[in-house]
Amino acid sequence: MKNAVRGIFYKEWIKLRFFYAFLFLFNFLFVLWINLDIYTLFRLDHGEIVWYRLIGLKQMPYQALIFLPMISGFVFAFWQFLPEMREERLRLALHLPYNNVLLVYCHLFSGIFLLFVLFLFDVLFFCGMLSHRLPFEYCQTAFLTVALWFIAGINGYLICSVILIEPQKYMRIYYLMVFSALLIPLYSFRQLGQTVELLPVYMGMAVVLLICAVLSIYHYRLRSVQA
Amino acid sequence: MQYPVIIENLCHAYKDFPVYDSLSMRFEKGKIYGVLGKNGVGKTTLIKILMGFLRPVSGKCSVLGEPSHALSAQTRNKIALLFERHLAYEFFTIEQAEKYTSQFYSNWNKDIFYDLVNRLRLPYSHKIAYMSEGQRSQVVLGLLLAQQAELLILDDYSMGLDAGYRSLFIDYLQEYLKENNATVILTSHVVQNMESFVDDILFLEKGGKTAHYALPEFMRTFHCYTVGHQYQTFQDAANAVQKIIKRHEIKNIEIHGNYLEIYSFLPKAAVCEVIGNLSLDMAGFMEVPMSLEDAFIGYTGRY
Repeated sequence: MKNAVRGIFYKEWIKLRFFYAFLFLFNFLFVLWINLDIYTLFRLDHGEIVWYRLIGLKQMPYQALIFLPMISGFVFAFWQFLPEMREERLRLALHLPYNNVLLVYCHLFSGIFLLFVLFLFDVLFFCGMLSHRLPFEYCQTAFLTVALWFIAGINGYLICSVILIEPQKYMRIYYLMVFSALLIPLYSFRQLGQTVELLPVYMGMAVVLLICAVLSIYHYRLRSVQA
Repeated sequence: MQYPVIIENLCHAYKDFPVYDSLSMRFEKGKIYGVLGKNGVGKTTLIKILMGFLRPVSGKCSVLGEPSHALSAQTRNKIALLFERHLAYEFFTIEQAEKYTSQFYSNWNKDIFYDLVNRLRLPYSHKIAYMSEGQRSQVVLGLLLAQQAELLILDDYSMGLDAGYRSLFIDYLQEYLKENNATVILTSHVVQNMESFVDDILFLEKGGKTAHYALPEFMRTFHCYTVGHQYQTFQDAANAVQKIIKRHEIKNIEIHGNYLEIYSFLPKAAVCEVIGNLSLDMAGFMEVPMSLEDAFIGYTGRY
């Protein structure tokens, strides 16, 4: 089992490393831009006004950050699984002498691991910069709020991966509709801390998506009609 | 195990379109089988079922004692698959491909891989994406053979290869098989190379008809005869030969401008008797030698 994990992680790293470096740079620049935006806010407005907007109105001048993990997750999944699905290369991996569920989870967890490292960097960089100007309590709530966006980004990665692996068209549409609908609430809240209660929901959703991935591999491996 | 692959009453269909009705076949250990047939007769379907990526509608397809669509990890360790177009991970270099694949197989023999790859005279840091189809086929073959599998299933191994690489591929495979008692099942659109190394051939025909022959026996008993004809139009000739094909043991008749090619397992005298009623120039009736490719075209028909 150790060999399978090591082997798949090695393959995924070779495949993704240049794109991952690019994505890392993009994320860094994006978070830097957000931080510069907040810095500009503090520079142009009076402290009381900024305080009122952030604490009183619970506005989030870093709202644009909500799209970064989702876009990163989608693009990363495409970059990881499109080469596998092109000419059905996934068959190469599924014929390896290990349990197919283990093999597909190795693929998914290598992606989740790389995204987790990337997102952790984003969150720490963002919260670190925020803590220079705002009190700890505010940063704590902001951390929980943006953490949810990043967990949703992992979910976005999983949704995309499962849809790419799934050979049955109607199941793809079903996944797309159901899971996209579950992501919508995230984008409808506009105030700090409003979405914190969604955290367990999205963590549960990640677990459900991991189960769906097994189902998709089962469909892929044992289809009775060519897709 | 005497029969690594056993197919019994295999049925498969795509929606309402039947591919096999009741396909039965046993593949003996240590033999090389060529699966032949025209486009659309179900070669790829059969290979996909054997590889375990397609579940048959009914019937049994057993590979090394297990249903092909539910192979255990231990059994997959003994089976090497070559996918159409020499599928490989193109982002790997030669060295990385070996390092990656070697981690999964218990019988991995690094020397076999590098022995084959060294013939390409490419640096190990050469990326598979930048290789020609022929070079990639050698790397993929190296990865397959280094597994030291009991069963090799090769789906259209010749696709995209020029004559030189086809010959290289076969030579190395033959060399490997001398020392390893592996069973090989392969398909190819280029039939001519098979003649020198295939033991048995399996013909697949439309509607699920199959025929299995030992190659030497097939080449000895299947004949091609030519005879001049005097029909004015192609249609007249076609109508006349259709009656004969239906009535007698004539496998196929190809109509050319002023002569016919008659393919049959019957000896010359018997064919002569069968076609005696046609408007033919019997003076020129003769048997012509055939390569496997000629025989394949004669057996399956050009259209």
